Amino acid sequence: MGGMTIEGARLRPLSEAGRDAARVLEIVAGGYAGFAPVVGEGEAVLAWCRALLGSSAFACNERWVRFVAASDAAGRSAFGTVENALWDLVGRKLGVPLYELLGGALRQRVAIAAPVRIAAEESVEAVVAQAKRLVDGHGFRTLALLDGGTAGQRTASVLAALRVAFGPAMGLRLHLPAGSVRPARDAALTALGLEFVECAGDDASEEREAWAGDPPLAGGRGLAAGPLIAEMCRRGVVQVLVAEPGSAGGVPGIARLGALARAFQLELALACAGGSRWELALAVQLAATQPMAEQAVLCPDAAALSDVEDGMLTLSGAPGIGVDLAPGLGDAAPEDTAS
Amino acid sequence: MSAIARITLRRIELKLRMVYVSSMYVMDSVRRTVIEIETEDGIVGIGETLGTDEVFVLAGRLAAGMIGQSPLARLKLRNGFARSVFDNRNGRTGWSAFAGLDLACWDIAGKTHGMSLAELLGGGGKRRIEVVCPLPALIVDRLVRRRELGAMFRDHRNIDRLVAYALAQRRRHGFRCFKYKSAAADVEWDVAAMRALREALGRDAQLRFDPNAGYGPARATALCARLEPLDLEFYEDPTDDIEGLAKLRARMTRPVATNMCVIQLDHLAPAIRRGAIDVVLADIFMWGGVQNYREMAAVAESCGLKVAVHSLFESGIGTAANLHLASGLPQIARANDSGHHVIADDILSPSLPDVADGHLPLPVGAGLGVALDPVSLARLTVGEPVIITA
Repeated sequence: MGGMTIEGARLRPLSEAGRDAARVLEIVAGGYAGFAPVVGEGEAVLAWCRALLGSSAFACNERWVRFVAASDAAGRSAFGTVENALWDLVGRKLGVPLYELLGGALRQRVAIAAPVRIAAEESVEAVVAQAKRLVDGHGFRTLALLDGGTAGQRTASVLAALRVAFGPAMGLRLHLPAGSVRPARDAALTALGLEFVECAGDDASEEREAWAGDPPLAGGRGLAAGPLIAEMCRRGVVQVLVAEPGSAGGVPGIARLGALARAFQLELALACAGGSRWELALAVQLAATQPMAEQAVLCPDAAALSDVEDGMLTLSGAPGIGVDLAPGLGDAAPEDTAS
Repeated sequence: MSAIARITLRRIELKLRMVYVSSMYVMDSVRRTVIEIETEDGIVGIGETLGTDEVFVLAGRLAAGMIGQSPLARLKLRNGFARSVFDNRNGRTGWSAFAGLDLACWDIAGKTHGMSLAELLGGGGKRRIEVVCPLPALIVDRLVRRRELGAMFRDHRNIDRLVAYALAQRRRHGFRCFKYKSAAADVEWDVAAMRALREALGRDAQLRFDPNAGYGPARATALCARLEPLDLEFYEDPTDDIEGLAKLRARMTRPVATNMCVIQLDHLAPAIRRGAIDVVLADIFMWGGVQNYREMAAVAESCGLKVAVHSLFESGIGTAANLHLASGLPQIARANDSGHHVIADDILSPSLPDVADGHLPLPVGAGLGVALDPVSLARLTVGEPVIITA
């Protein structure tokens, strides 16, 4: 298909100033524009766009080969951002939602996890009350406890309180930031029936291997499919792959992680780095096409979850990622341009 | 997208320009299943797969379940067919039946969006694809019973005919890559034949050795050890099973490939953990179509395995599909297996061009970029077509 040469790109500010997802990338090819939330550094995104000017919007494999040859954390995020915008563009050009480009949806409604935050000063009762508000408002069936790293020994108590409050049918999982100490894996923790425990940034640690068991360990967030993830799969030190569409290499990166998940019979949990509608819509569409993505999608910002009903989001049939610039936003001056 | 309204399945028989002798077959023709899927709005996608009785019957049963469904809902169709290992995922028959239908659905997707299959896969920049010349275990002029082959293998003067055939194919088509099909009948013959081929074709030629898992692990290991100085491109299914391949590979310096022991995603994890192979020589039919193939390639890439396209003898539809895979998937960096120049008939209009300079061009156009020739198709059809409608 001709006429889909990448012509230019620019970053646009969103209203959510000061956050990672505060900007959206707009990329133009063949008279169409595609959009994606910016993950990581804007300059790295624009540098990657400049490198792609004049190439075909469809040539994602050629881009992947170049990406794999020179990938670091910043590069992964830039690559993922650009890929997501280009897949949005292709969907718009062809008039089909992203999930149709990927072979059609396996599920029309996708489960969403309620983000429950625990902070140092917060009591166990307050955390349970926070979770109750979310469940009552949107019918969530999975609670994702986001431990900011300050809860320490209270984490296990909070998990136990949530289990008591919501009963055995409620999905419950724990997300810990990098450098956190995992709660002791003892009989009490196992008895809580957690879906998984994720401790960011420890994917290559030996401690992970020693801890692996029940509850299952999740890992891989921020990584793209490659030797490290493959080694984790091969050694069996991860039972759930956590995949962020931005930092995992965008749409083609998630497809690769999904293939690894199928081959090694791992669960795939889609997660958003920020709380923009683009990220959530993208993660939901990708989850809908992945056989192993039966885990609820995590969006860390409860404010972005207003459309959730019965703990689920329904796929939209809109082209591409399915999110348009908010009225007026398209008129805002671009922050930076690559053309 | 409009739904699938009609599916037609035919079995065709294609004559070969040689008698093909391997450890599995002695044959001078091949049967294939040709599939046409037509949507309510008149788009026709074409596919192909194996032509065995089992595959033909199963493909017909699957086709009946696809009427009324969207051809673009490929993931859902796959999930419905092979949800678990228990459902159709063991052996090659099930996935092969699905593959022909899947291929036709991809052809429809390409025609719907105005994109070639290679472009749908995210590639398409590679316009010429190198192909392999298959070499039979023995040159014979007529179909013979397998038990007659023993005496021929004991007479090493027959190797001269094999070498002469390889050189003639190189002169005519410019091949640089050759696959010798061992009959796994005589180790001494195989060693002598491979040495003679290497000597005649030179060090620049790529040589593959494929006994179709016909040797047990101990004999295969001893045989491959003797082939090591020949610097082969790889040993293809030198012995059987993931365990057997792993044991052999541990003692060889040249790569080990398989198209028989790792033929679905479920096989990849044990093969990777066991260190059984270097190359997934994947057959689009045995792997169950394009989506499975793409996922296999992604896993192989992450896990440090190479990917190459396997085929035996198929019509131009299958050849075209393999060319699109090689152009569309960056993980494929070796020459495609191909029997295109050995097939005496075809069902396409226009036909695919002949192999030249060891390459075939990528078909141009939406989907597979090829079209059926109704006259040839009718002439080569065996039995009655199966037509399925609502």
